[in-house]
Amino acid sequence: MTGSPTLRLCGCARLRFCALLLVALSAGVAGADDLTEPDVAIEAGKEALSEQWDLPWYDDQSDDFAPVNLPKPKKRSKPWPIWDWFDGLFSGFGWNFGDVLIFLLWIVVAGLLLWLIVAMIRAYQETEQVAAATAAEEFDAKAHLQRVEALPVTLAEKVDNYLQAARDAYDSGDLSKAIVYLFSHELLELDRAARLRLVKGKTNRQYLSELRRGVGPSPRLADILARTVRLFEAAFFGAHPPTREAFEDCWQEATEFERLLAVEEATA
Amino acid sequence: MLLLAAVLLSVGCREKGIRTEYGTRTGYGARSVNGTTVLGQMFEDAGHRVRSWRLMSPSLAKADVIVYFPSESQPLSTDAVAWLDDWLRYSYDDDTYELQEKTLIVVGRAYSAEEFYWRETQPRAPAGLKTEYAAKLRKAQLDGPLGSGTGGKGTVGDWYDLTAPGTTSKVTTLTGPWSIGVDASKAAIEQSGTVFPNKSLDVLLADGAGHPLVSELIYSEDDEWSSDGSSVLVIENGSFLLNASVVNHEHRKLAGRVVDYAGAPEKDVVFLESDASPTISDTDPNQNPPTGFELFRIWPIGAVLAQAAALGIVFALAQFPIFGVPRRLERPALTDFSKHVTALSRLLSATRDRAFASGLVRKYFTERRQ
Repeated sequence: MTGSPTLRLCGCARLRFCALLLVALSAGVAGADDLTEPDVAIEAGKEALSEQWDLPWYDDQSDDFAPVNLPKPKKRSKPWPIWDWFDGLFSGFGWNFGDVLIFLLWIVVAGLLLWLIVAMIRAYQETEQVAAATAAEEFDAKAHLQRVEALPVTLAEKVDNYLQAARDAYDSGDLSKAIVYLFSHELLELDRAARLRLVKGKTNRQYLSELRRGVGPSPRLADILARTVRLFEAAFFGAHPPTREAFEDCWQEATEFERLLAVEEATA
Repeated sequence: MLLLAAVLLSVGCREKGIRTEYGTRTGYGARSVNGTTVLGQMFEDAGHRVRSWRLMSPSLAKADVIVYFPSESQPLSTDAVAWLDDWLRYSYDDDTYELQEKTLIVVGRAYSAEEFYWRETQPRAPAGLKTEYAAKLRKAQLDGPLGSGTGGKGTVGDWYDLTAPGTTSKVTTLTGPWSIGVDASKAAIEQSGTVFPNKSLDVLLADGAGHPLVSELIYSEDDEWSSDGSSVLVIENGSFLLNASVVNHEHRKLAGRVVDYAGAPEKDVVFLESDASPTISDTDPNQNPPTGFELFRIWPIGAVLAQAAALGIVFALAQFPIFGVPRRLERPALTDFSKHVTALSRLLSATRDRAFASGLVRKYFTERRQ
């Protein structure tokens, strides 16, 4: 029982001794870093400088300044006195000719960039225009096909321009075919101008009625179409080809038909 | 591309030589002969935590030591002096609410180590560059200690008076407690009679004529609320503290004294990098990653974003006008028989009478057949 307190005291004493030793050691270390000591400060300065790896003006080997590199003087040969003259031109602005040249180069680069942007915009516009034109053509072709399908007559051959086809048939003397083409042309044009609606199954009288009493009635266009209808029905259903005079009358009116349609389309 | 390369090459050539930014510890200025990186490193090596700051904000107030190299030779603004005085006198520990001792080290601006570097390296100038080295020295001498800046005059708190820099002269004799062990003849300390400490300050280092180079003011307890032991160290200029100056061994001894002045290790040492009128703020700048428009203010992200934004604006402008022929909308087909069937079936379904509808359809087909 008497031994244990003694042992505890010894333990405490040991601990105290260790603590004192640590303090003494740390004090010794702190003493080594005492920057008021000249030699310590010199070493500390050297160490601090050496730790900066990117100081071009310091040489840590010699612990002294290192000469830095400078741009070498430009040696100009005598044949280039004009260079000095250029330098003199801009010296008033605090620039030399090289600065001006670099400035001009930047302007050229900026110009090129601007040109590139404008070219890109133009290319984009052209692409859009081509795409829109193609889409419009496709739409027109599709609408044209729908109209042709809605015509009261079904033609064996494919026709792109019915007016031209009518003229060709007239020139070749086939007046029955010519009046069919002319009638088809007039119907197609009226539908395209939204003067009537081509629908499979509608009668010619319905078309005429639509033209006379529809939205925005056109009596004169209806008269022209009526004359063509009469010749067309006689030729197509009655197998009575129109006379050359009768067809030519219709043909003459076709010109007026086009004009009227164009005027009404423009004022619509 | 060749033109661009030529331009970049010519710009790159201008990087030859030395950097001369004054009083910066980090960034590009860290390599400058007038930087404070080496002094900061000495503080770090002495066991202190070192950082740089630009504002007088709560973060700066937490510092134990402020090392202030104003970037211009102007009297500190009244607000800045009041902030520093308040910081020295009334800084409390956040946890224990006990007064803390603070240390302020202010270094006058009237010195540039550029001339010192070129003068020291004249004999070692590479062959072929001696003329350029001489020209650099001449230019540095012409620029003087303030470079392109001008010196102002005024009183800075109770600490010192500032005058415009006079003629710079080399200090040949040192006096005062800090002069012990320093060989003035081997040093290159300069003074231009710019900083005149108040008489209440104790001179630690002075030149032969008695002009103080380093002075200290230890705050005594004014009342029970103010600190007892905070101190201000006023230094004439950085001729023994700036990066290039520390190459000189005698200067290192004095720099060591300054570092030692901060006290025991593990102090929070902050280099205040600002002009004579630092911005005072009640809040610290946001340290979180910047978002949105703040990114535009960060180099080089801002430059990249600005170009992307410009391209975006160009694209938006290209999209905005209707270029080319307008597209025609497709008209609904008038010859689609299925629409008739759909319309009829919709009418029949509206009757909600299946028998009637099927009967009507059946009747239609029956009568049509007849």
